[in-house]
Amino acid sequence: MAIVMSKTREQFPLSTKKVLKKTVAGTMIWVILLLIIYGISALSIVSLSETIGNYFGIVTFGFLGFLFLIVVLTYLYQWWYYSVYFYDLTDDYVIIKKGPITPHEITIPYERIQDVYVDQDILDRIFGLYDVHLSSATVSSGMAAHIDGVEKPASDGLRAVLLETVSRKISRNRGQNTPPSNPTPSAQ
Amino acid sequence: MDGVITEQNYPVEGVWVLKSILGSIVALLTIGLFYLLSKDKSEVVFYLLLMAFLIPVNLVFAALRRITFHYALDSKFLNLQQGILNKTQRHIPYGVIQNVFVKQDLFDRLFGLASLTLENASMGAGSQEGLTKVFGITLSNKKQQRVEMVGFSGNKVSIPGLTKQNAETLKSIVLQKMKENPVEDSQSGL
Repeated sequence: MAIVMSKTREQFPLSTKKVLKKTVAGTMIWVILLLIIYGISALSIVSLSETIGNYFGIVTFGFLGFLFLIVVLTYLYQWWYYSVYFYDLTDDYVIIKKGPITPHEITIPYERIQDVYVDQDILDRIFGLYDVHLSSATVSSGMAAHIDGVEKPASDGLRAVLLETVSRKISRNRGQNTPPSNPTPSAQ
Repeated sequence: MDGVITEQNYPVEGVWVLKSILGSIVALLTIGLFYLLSKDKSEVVFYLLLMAFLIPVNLVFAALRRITFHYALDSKFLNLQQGILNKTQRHIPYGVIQNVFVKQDLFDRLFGLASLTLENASMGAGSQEGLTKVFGITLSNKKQQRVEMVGFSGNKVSIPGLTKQNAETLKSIVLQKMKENPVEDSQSGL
């Protein structure tokens, strides 16, 4: 599948390990759940095998097949998600677009960025990935505006570029539009 | 007035009205299935009739919502009007818009629509951010409102049901206006 590319994504690429990580994260709960159900049903089938006959093999095969199907479907979906993941730092705005089936695009002007931070959850640590978050003052931007699954150099690069651009934009706006009567208190 | 962009230029498409009854239609089909399967049909008929009554009501409500919603982008403010019985007007300076969303859900994808959502940082104007009641049917928007109503509520202004191309054009117009009207005291602390 063709990967949607932007200048920023070429410069700071999304790691392909993201697909793997998301697959693991998405199927983990299924794996655990199915293993528990499988354990219980295996025990009961073994203990009842004299009365109802031996279905152990079929049940094992069924569970493994179902699990395999879930993992493969999740993997394919995540690969799709990965390939349409779009982010671009243009001259004036940050644009982030994701979602293969129901696309969702957010545009934030640099001046409105409140916060830039990089974090990792436990799976990110295992795979060596970083999430770069940036948000404006609204709740939904916090949910939508992040770039997930980049490696260390890309996350550092993204953060540096974002911080640099934001501070340049703000200082330029201040220089241009300082009101004479009421000077703006400088925010640190 | 020239230079003012209104819903005449980028209208909410008529098809969008159908979206409001999507949930009811699904419910109707489910109840219809029950009707076919159940033995005691008299009880199911009541719900069937209720649903059949709700669909036109929802349809009319959404259509009224659509024709009573007006927006106008002049040079300094985004002016909005909405309300069927309770009329509200709202004026948002471009400088305070925090971010711009363009969203498409499944329905939108099928009909080539998109919704444009603008947000500012206010918690005041508008109210019922948590729940929206439509004739007793509560549309929850804990995470993201399921049925995006036209108009503004809380810190959101949504203009749904635009064609994809119109949504993109309107987005770039709003972004351009935001650029032309910066706020002097930047809210960013970075």
